[in-house]
Amino acid sequence: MAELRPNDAPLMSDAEFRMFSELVREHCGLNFGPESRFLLEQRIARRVRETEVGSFASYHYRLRSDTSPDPELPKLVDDLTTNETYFMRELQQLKALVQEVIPEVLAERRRHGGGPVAIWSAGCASGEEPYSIVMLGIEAGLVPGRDFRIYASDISRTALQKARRAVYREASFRDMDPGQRARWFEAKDVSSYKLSDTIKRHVDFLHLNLLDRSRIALLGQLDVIICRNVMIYFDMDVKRRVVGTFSEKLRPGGHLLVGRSESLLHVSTQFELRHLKNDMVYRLAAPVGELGS
Amino acid sequence: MDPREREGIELGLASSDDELRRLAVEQLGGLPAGDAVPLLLRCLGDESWRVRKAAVERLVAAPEAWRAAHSLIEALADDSNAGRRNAAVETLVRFGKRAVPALLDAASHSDADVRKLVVEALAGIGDERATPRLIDALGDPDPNVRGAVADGLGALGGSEVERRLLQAAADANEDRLVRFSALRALARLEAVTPVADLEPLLADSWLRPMAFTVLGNAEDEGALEPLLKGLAHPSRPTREAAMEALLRWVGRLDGSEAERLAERVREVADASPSLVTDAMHRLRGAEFATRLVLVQFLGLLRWSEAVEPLLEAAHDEALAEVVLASLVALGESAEQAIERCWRSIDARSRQLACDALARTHGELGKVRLLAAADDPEPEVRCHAAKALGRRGAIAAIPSLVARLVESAELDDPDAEDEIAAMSSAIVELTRPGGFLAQEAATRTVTLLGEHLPAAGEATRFAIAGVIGRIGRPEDASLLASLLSDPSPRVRRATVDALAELGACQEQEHLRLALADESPMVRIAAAGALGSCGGPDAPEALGQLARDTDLWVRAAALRAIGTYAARHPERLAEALSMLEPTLQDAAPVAMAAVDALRETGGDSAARAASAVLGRPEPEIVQAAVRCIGQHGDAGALESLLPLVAHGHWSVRAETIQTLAERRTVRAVPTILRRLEVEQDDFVRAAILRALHRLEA
Repeated sequence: MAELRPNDAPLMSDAEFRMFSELVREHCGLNFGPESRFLLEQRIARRVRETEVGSFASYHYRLRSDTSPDPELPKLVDDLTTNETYFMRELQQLKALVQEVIPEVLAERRRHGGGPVAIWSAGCASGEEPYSIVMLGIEAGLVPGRDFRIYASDISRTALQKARRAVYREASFRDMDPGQRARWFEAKDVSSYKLSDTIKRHVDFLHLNLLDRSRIALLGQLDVIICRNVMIYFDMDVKRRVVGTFSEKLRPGGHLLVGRSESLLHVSTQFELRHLKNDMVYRLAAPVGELGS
Repeated sequence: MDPREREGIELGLASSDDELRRLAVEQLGGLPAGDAVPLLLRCLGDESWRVRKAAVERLVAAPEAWRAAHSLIEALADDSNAGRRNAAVETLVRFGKRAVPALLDAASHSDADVRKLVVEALAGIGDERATPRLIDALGDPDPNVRGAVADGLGALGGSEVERRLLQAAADANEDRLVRFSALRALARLEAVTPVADLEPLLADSWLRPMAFTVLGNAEDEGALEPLLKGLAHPSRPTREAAMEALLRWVGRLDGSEAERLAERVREVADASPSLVTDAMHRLRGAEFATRLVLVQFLGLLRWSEAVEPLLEAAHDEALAEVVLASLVALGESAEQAIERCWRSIDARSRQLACDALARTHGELGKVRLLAAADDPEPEVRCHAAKALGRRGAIAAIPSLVARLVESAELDDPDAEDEIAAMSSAIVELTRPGGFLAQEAATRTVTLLGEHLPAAGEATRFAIAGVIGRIGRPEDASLLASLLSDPSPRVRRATVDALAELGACQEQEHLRLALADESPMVRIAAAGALGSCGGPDAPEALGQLARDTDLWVRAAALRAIGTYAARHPERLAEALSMLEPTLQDAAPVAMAAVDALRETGGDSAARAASAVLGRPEPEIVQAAVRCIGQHGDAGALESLLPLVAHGHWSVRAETIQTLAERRTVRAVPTILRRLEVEQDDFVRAAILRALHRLEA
């Protein structure tokens, strides 16, 4: 097995790179190709030093055999996931959700005596996305809890910790209107802002791996799933598995929102593209006769 | 191949779903080349680019497929399918030199489009055999072919090529597109061209910018006057081409001559301020190559007014280094300009300004950096700290220490970058050999020590780390007091720090740490004793090798390996401690194998062979590596059965090891494996190994 050079670039052999990338992919779907090898090596080398296991081989064994109450693999995944996001990202799509999708689904559910629209923000990172939806929902006259409920999940425990803390720095506000910031946040110190509890309490956070169907079963049936800029890190096979899970969790006619640069072409034929006033979204094709429109 | 599989491929190729067709193309690799190649050629014309791309890849990988080059050239004549033509050209280029004879045969094809594509393929391959034919083709009746030829010759070069290109460029009767292509090829070849030959082209507004680019490589100083005039030309492409050409000249000239030319450029710029304002404006919207020229040009002018737009341009990481070099060349003027614009620039520009101030030397810059260490944005504070460390600004130590403590007290994951930046800056300022370093180190450690009594866990952890990195043995007693810290995290950091000090005189403390209740502290203590322990260390480590925690046992064994590598006279003792652990739990056995590899020698390799039958591939791989490094011929031959091991990683490691040690007797075994190996990674390892062994 190759050695670690503590103060220099790590030297992972091709075989080690494959072993780690396969293990990570199998666990959580993240795909590390040759172009992201340096990143994987750096992050793993850091964990090898932190855990003091001495070598890449030893660390690999630990990852695949660890049955301790505080296993190592989630810590590595925390280091490998990208949590960079911001409030009101891809705003048009969020507007399509709160101004068009939620009212429509809500009306449909009320006709059948159903409860609030159930929304899952899958891969929510540090929480900016679900919180943005609550803010926009309130601004559109919806009542969180009564009209819609938001579940938000991520595989990174560190990201979830940040999301629950709900204290954000300047970079998270790059696309947010200053008026919105003044309304929903209070300055904590010169460079950080704390989210108002009025918004915070309406999001339920969960630690979920999108490949772990048994834990995802904890969520009930959903009306909308938002999974934006997450599947770009997956290969086609994993994308299909994840979208397959989404289709099982959605009620017939449920909506799936993916990132602007993403598409379900070649991933799934179960969804149809729907052109709304603000943006385009995917809708799970319902069995004939089950949907009004 | 199974007939059903073959049928499946054929059905896939005929499918209306392009993903199924692509998958079928991928599977064509399983057919004999004679069957696969015609099908792949057909797939080059598929309506889906994914299918075409897959077909190109398979054709390039198929053995002997290059013999189908003539069929590919026939595909070039298919003017009804542009995708097929492009895929054929790409495949021919990827075939490389093997396709050249067929392409040369087709260079006089009756169809001008085919001739043009053939020229493009030849240029893409870049084989010198094509040069005479391409030079002749400069006389082709079709201007599109001549243009492609001119571009293609730009990939080949040679004195005759340059002469003929210049002739084409200067020929007033030639098509302008061909003349332009010829100039572009001369620029690409960085051809040294006589100014007199290019002067007539400067009157043509379309050819002028490219002619200026070519003048950038001229050796005749007669090129300078037109270029300097070009700077003030009303046409922007002309001005920017002149800038680029003059930058080339400045870069090529020696010091004083370069400065004289730069001064002349500045005179022209002073006389036409719109030149500079337009350049600054263009920094925002131009494409990358142009922005690169503009940044360098503005740096050459040394206009302090350009500092703010330059900082903004450096937001593009690819330009940041060039911008910083330009700002550093401005020296104290840059410091003044940064000071003037500081309040109006955004956080990213402030970070970059700190990076520039790290390399300037004026007092104003230092004062600005000291203030920036308290910037509202943490990233700016980090850059300021790094800059202060680089400048050796000892006066900054109290504020850096205060900021370090403040950040650590937050105990917030977001503050980790800042803690790291402050720690590194402090350590940099106290680095041995630096000016007043000893005094700075004493002052720093005193300040850090003063913070300890009231500090929280994260702060004590950070302080232990910084004192360790400062690395003064005299601080060992201060550190030793932290070995009684209630937090295991702090105790562990303290042990690591003591090891960094090389604090062998603190062995008593390290030995006591071996009995700490926290495994992470015992692991750190084992590592410290391995790297700096004295004569008693092996005995203590031997006891630790019987710890109840398997990761502690593993750390103890690694430490024994490290110790034995430093003290070869204790090798036998080390081996006697390592060998019995080879059948222990996997992490322990793996550590023992790694330790054997570190100690080295025949006996280590022999001992490592005891784990070759273990089920964990990681351990077997480690043993193979150890035997490969230290084993004799007999030990290497004992690896041969592993060429057929059940785990791909062991097979690959073994094959690579046998090749590296030139174990020629392994060739028949490896060849047999090649016949049945299904894993692409291992197949590639086999082919590399055979190549090496046959060489």
